[in-house]
Amino acid sequence: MDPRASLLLLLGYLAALATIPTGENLLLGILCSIPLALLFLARLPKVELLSQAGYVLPFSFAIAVVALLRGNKGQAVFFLLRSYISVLAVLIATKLVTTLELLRAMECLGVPRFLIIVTEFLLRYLQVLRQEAESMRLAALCRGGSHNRLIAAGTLGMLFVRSLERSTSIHNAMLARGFNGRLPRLHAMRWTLRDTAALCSGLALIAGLRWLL
Amino acid sequence: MMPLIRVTNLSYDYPDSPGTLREVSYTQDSGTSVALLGPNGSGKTTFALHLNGILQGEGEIEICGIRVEPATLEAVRRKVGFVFQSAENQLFLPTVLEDLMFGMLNQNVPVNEAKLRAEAMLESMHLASKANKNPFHLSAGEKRRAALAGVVLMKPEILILDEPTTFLDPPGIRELAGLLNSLPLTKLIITHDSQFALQTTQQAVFFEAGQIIASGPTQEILDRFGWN
Amino acid sequence: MHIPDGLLSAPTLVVTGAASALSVLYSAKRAESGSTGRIPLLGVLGAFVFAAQMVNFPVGPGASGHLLGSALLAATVGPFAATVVMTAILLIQALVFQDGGILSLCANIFNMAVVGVWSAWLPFSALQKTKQVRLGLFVGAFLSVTLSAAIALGQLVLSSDLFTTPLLVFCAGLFTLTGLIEAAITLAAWEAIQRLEGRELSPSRLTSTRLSIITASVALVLAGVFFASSAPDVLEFFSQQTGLARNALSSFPAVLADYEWRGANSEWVRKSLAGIAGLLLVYVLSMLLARLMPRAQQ
Repeated sequence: MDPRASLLLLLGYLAALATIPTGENLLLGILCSIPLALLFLARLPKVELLSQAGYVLPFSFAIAVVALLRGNKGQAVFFLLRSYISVLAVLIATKLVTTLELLRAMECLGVPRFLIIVTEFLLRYLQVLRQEAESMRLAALCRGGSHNRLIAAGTLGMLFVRSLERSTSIHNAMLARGFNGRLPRLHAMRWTLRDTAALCSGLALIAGLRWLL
Repeated sequence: MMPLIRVTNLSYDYPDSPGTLREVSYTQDSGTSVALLGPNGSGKTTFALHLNGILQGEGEIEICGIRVEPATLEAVRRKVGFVFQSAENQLFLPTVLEDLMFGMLNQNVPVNEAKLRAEAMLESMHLASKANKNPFHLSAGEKRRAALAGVVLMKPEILILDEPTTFLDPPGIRELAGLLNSLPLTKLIITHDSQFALQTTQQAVFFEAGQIIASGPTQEILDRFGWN
Repeated sequence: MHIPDGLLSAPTLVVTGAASALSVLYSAKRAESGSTGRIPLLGVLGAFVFAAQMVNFPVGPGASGHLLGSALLAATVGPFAATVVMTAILLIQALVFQDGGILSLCANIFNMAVVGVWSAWLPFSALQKTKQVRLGLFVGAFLSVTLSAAIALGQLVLSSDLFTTPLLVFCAGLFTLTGLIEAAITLAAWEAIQRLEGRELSPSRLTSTRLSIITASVALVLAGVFFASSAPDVLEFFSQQTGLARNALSSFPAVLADYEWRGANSEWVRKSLAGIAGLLLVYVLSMLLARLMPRAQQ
């Protein structure tokens, strides 16, 4: 499926969840069936995704506890379930469509190209800089500097300065290969009739479950 | 025959390092392969960065008969391919295939043609399975080959490589040497690796304190300065 | 504060979404003009912020925090580019790490990439003109966290009736503390950067030691004040409802009975001092426990 269709379906689903009045647990439960059905029908790592979605639970749990203390069990369950299923839906989407494709779909749907390109560069160098930070942390540890403010500040400063140097080096590499300020569009998305059918039927299902039941 | 590279009295100062290059003159003929040798900080990389206009110092530089100045940078950079020391910074796009296509697209090669040529190149470099991967996940040797591929696809006449054997293991170095020798381009190779210099170049120049103090056959320069 | 999906109401999302969209569109346009080196610079700085969050910065005995980055970004690349970088960071956090929701990006971008950045930039820019760069950074970093958190809390309050005043007060206190920590770390990082780039730092009364003392003092006072509630706590409430309170015996003299420090006239002051004393006691006990327990291998 075209990533734009996947993104629109995800947004439509999340919007349907967001508009459910608080406490309508039955309606919420019915809408939960969509990502759960997708999880079990598609070839996805079920246990991994179900447990990964639990990452949101501590935050939502705090909100749910407040509701519980005020004697509102239904509201507590509602908030917990809605946050959990929202994260699960996003996880499923990012397993079926890569982060890069989702970003490019966003660009096609109007997000500024400059922002998307900066995000792609961030994604490209995320692990590189995290690896650098980890090396610095280990180097400090080897010299007994595990809880030292000066070393932590120095690490941050060094990471920052190296980031500036790295960006200059990258820019030189871009210039050397003819970069003139405009990044050429490297990807092409082809929208087909199948995507239209999938999008329309998906949105119809979500809307039907949300508003007609 | 006109030299492909002609540098006359090139001088350059970094803000915190005056005299990085001091009136350097240099020529190189078409089809030759030259090693730039010398201690760290002697000005080799700074010199090389002037040849494609990344740095602009005082003096005159001609590449394939084109004078290097702000108005001619686009034309010069079509002639000169530069493989930087850090392959991590050279492969800056999210996937290997897109990175290989980048240079060609800047040359207005149609997207479909650029994609086909990039895929063919990946196949020849034994990198076909890495096409859609983030370059971060490639090994040092794979990164080096991909970086070289991205530059070669632009069909330059001159190839400059800055410390290409960095992070490579001995088999990787041998493979790279074989690859370079198969490319019929004029080459300028900055290196500390004497064996690699001998395998890939016939001539060498020796930099010291911002000047070229000697030039000649590679083995002779290596022996003269104890660079073995 | 990254709000996950499922907590904000549709009207809140629509309004913040519109505000975010307009702000980001304009910021991207402004940030794009200038040197062609902007693209790799902003992307790599975004990656820097992620990497910086792996560096644990000691803020007190046994406690550490990490840099959030809005103020440092705003001071380095200006507010428009910083908004773009922060938006990119939030996108990756939501898509890759599920830190913050996708629809909630409407609010998170407004809170952190717009309000967070501009509340850091404005005081920094104003104080920079009077050569009070350190103070500007400190105030900017503090405001970037507290104001964006305050707005996030406001959005949560508008979206549900769960947020009672004590809970809001507690959250406000927590974010005040976080803001102070961010300010201290930002200043320390900035000073380290200046030294690495060979710039001489003018002597300042705002040293990092003094900042730590100020931060710890404010934290203590806030904790004492915010926790000095006159409402019964959970245990008390339960014991009153079930009648256990009537049968309870006093086994030994309680020093801080009824959560009050006897000796002060005002009830508010008695409770605040008791709160501070209690907090110090818990802190010292936790530290002792941490030293006694074997550390896990890293």
